[in-house]
Amino acid sequence: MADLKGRMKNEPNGHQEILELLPWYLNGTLGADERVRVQSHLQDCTTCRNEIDEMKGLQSAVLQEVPDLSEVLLQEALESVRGRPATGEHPMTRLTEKPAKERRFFLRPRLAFSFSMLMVIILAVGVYLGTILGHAPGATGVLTNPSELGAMIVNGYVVVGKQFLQQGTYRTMLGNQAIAKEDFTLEKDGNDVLRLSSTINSVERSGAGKTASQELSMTSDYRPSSYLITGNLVYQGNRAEAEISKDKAMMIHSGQDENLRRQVDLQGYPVLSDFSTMSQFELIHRVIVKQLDQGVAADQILLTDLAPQALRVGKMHLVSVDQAFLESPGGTISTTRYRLKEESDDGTLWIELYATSKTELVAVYMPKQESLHTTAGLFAYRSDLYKDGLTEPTSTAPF
Amino acid sequence: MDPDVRLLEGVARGSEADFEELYRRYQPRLDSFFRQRIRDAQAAQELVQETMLIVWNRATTFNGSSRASTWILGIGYRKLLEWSRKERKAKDLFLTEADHESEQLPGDPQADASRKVGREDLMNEVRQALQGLTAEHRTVIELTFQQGLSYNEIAEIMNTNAGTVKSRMFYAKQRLKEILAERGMKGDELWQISKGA
Ligand SMILES: [Zn+2]
Repeated sequence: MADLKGRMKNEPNGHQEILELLPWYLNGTLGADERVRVQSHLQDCTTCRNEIDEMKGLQSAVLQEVPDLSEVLLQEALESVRGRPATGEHPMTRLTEKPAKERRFFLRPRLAFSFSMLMVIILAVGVYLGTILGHAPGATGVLTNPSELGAMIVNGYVVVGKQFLQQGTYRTMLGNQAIAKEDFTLEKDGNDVLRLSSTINSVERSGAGKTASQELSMTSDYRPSSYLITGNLVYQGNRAEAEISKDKAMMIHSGQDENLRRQVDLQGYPVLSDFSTMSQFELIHRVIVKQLDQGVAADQILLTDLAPQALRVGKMHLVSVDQAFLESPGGTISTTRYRLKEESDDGTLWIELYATSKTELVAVYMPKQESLHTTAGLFAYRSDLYKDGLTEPTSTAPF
Repeated sequence: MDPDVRLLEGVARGSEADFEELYRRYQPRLDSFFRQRIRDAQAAQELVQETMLIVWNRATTFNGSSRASTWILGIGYRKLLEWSRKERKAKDLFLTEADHESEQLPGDPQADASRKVGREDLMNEVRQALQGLTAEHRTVIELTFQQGLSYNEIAEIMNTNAGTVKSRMFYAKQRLKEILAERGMKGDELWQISKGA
């Protein structure tokens, strides 16, 4: 009937059917087949073209701003479900097997990615945001000279000297393949605000020739609360933020593919900050040096590392400090080597820091090891200082 | 995988963190869904809470045959029907044309219509006219344009078939234009809005 009417108005065949599809053509939910048919019909049918204009008008009128989330209601809802197990009326077998203890892990850090995935993200992409430094009880102190270049822990916070400035370029190698380059500047400005800017370009290990980049900027005092990733990361525009309070960190990772929000218990560890790969190691280095200078025993130094993307917390212990040599085409470089052991639910990771002075970290090395899930060791070095490269150390893990 | 499905699976395992995330994602959507129909903001909030608690309690029954959003909005829609049946005072529950007229500023609607109006005014007119539609018609429009669902998903939520959804939309828009005309409008308001008026 409607079609007959359509034909009398000289509308193409199937007009009525297409007309009824237009709202969903507009909201983008038609299947490919129907979409193509609508598109081709629209070229011949003025009635439908007019109709789609009206539908657009209706859509604009209907589309209102979605109200903001009500935190009060959220807390209410959480209160009502807390301690009340989710009970299905028709539970499926796999779900009845749910272990009761899983519920107790509520609000504890949970792995969002497998460890190998994590390493791809952290190391290949070069993003390693977030560090919390912990310490043994005796390791706190006051920054005696605020103008110095050190970093240390005071009352659970990391305090960075007034003149703090570190910048450089790191190149990260996986075996003999260059996989990432990071430029960063970390400085304390006249207002006591620590600023980080970092640009990472890296090659995705899985895709030959594919690059990912990150631009990161952070403004913070010694107790930073958030950071923002912008740019074309391997996450394709996803954004990560962290809100850190005294004993909890809320990790927010949002984007088109993932939307995670997890609260991580900081177990009383003092907060350092959220940093990019290399500037983080710079600060770890400074804190270690400062604590050793203050007479803290090496085995008393404990650092806690937090990787927000994966919501993973690991404890880093200083294993040893010794002298070691790095080889470059220009000759042999004498360094102080700090060996770290990081333990998390994902396994143990062995890390070496190489420094030429108390303020100059020049390389970070993670030998090939099981938890790395790589075919070779990862070696990052200051390519702005050693333009012709450095030779990968020969250390093997465990140390 | 649909991240909402992943969250629902977490909720099914009793993860409060996943529930929190799911809540963050759906509370605003559900709130706008209910508020288009219910004038009582408090009642709309209660419906959101009840819906999300059902999600928590029944997450184990979600079997993945539909999208998570369809499943959750379907629960919301049934909650809404249940609620309106209980109240049995449809005139109070669903905003009606009469309600809106009483809220309008004094003035001759004819004069209002003839005056030069901007796009925002036209959209307000359309929103008011939408309140004169039946709940079923409004729901189809809302689920299509506000929630961005396919006609099959809407059919699932409203427990009907795709053909009915399409014809409801068709008649909803026809009726909307009639209401606009009854309100002294010219009838080309939708078109004007689309052209940026
Ligand atoms: Zn047509």
